[in-house]
Amino acid sequence: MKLRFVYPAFNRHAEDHPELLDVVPCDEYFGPPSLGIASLAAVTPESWDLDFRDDRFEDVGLEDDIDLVAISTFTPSAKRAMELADAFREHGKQVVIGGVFPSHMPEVAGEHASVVVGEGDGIWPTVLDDAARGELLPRYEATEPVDVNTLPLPRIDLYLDKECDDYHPSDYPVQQSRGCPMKCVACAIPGSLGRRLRPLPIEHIVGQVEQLAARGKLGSLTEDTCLFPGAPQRHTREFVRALLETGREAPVSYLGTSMPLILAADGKLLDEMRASGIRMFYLVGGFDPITRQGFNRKHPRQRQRAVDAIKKSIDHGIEPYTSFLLGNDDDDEGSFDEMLAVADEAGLQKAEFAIRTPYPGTPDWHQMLAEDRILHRDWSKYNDANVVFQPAQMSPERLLQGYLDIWRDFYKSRQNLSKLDARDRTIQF
Amino acid sequence: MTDKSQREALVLASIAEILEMEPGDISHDARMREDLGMDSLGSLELLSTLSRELNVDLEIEQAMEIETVADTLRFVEEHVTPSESA
Ligand code: B12
Ligand code: SF4
Repeated sequence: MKLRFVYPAFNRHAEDHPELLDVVPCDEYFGPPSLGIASLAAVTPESWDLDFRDDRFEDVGLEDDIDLVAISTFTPSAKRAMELADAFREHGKQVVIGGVFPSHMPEVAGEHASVVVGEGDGIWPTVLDDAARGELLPRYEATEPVDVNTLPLPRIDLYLDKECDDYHPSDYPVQQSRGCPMKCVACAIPGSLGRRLRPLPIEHIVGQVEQLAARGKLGSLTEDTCLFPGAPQRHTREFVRALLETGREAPVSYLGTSMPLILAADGKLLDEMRASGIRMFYLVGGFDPITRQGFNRKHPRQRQRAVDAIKKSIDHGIEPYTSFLLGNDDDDEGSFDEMLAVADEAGLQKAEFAIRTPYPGTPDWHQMLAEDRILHRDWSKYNDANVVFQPAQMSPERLLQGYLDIWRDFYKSRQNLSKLDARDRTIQF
Repeated sequence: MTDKSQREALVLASIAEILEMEPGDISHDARMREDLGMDSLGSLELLSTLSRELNVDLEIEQAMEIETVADTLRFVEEHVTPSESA
């Protein structure tokens, strides 16, 4: 039986706004896919002959002889994913679709393919058996959280083997855990991967990093849970010690976290991270009191805490690549300048700017729906680079202009970044 | 930190710092989320700061059950080790 995984194309900042390429010093563009496909491929029985197509830069092969097409999608690629599903069906293929978007919008995705809601790993063998008999059900639900101790390493080779002139990321995501118990307004994880944080075994995380290192790649620890108190932080400590033991600089591009957790972090842990070779944090913004209130001139202490968090990270030798979310309800037209001022005051070198986007499945989505502030459901514009909701304190046009201006203004004085090597450059764009 | 009143002061000062309030304005009955506006990551910062300052391991799942300032104080007292609270 033949199985084809497909990762649909989606637009990122510079594709929707090519003018940004002239102002942002960054020469790497395509990021790696999520680990969804690599994870499912790893639990696919050998009786299936599998391959993978990345729709962003290659033909998906509608005419090919395939028994099952498995599409993985999150909201920015959902529109394209559903178009591809229709096209494959028109060519007589069985199609199943999973990922963050179908997990939250199964009724929408279900018009185009069989849908898997939630974590795919556990239910995947059942889906494959049904497909082998030609009897796919319209919907599958992962009712039980996957036991993370049973997960094999993701088949990251499927992505690495695709590298070419158009696609050559320097880092690939590494998973530390599944699920999250927090209720951050803009996050879709608790709804799609479960409300319990289940850390993967250290050997698994190290194994993921090593399999990337063996191919000359860095691992990006993209989840923002590494400094959570209790088990996740103990886990991170263990991971960092395992890295230290290897005696070489950690093949890790960055670790995700947020300003409040930097402020609360034990300085000794940050020093150990630096000693192990971790050189960058990715600071997720817009979900916490500091970055929600710090830029509207009404909360001077939160503003100061933003400066302090950035400085603390820099003082420990770890560069804080900061993601600013634009368009929170507390933000007004003056917020853009405040963000720039905070960045300058704290000595911030690298940042990204994302337009608040109420993704389906997030608390924000439900709030916007209830307040009738969703402007449209063109999912291809749900990618942090377009305004899809009515902002509280400015027009959608003003928010978009503020976003374009802040990218330009921030990088105006930071053009030297383009000369840095891959490891020290901005992450992705 | 050995003294219960010191621990209470630490809890109130930490909440005040995160929420840009004065410690004296925080009532023990106040609900963290509804009355004080403490969001998820704010409560994690609180827990993380308390873990660090009191040298105790506090798990996030337990933190999710905390609803009021009084709960936080009780939670801290339950988790400081006997030698700490002596
Ligand atoms: C690495 C990562 C990236 C990478 C890689 C791209 C990608 N597609 O994810 C990069 C950096 C490029 C990226 C970019 C963005 N990302 Co991102 N990213 C992640 C992250 C941290 C990890 C993804 C991952 O590997 N997860 C692990 C895998 C195993 O999980 P999974 O993909 O969900 O797959 C499981 C199930 O969904 C299901 N499944 C998935 N596919 C399929 C397919 C089939 C057939 C089946 C049966 C099942 C199935 O089974 C899998 C195993 O259980 C997630 C958060 C997270 N923890 O998941 C966010 C996340 C996917 N990103 C998100 C967002 C919003 C973005 C951005 C739009 C904005 C931003 N600032 O991050 C940008 C893209 C556009 C832009 N303008 O730049 C959101 C998506 C929300 C949504 N509703 O769609 C997430 C969920 C984060 C969040 N906090 O909400 N991201
Ligand atoms: S943003 Fe991070 S902390 Fe918040 S719910 Fe999502 S994964 Fe959890």
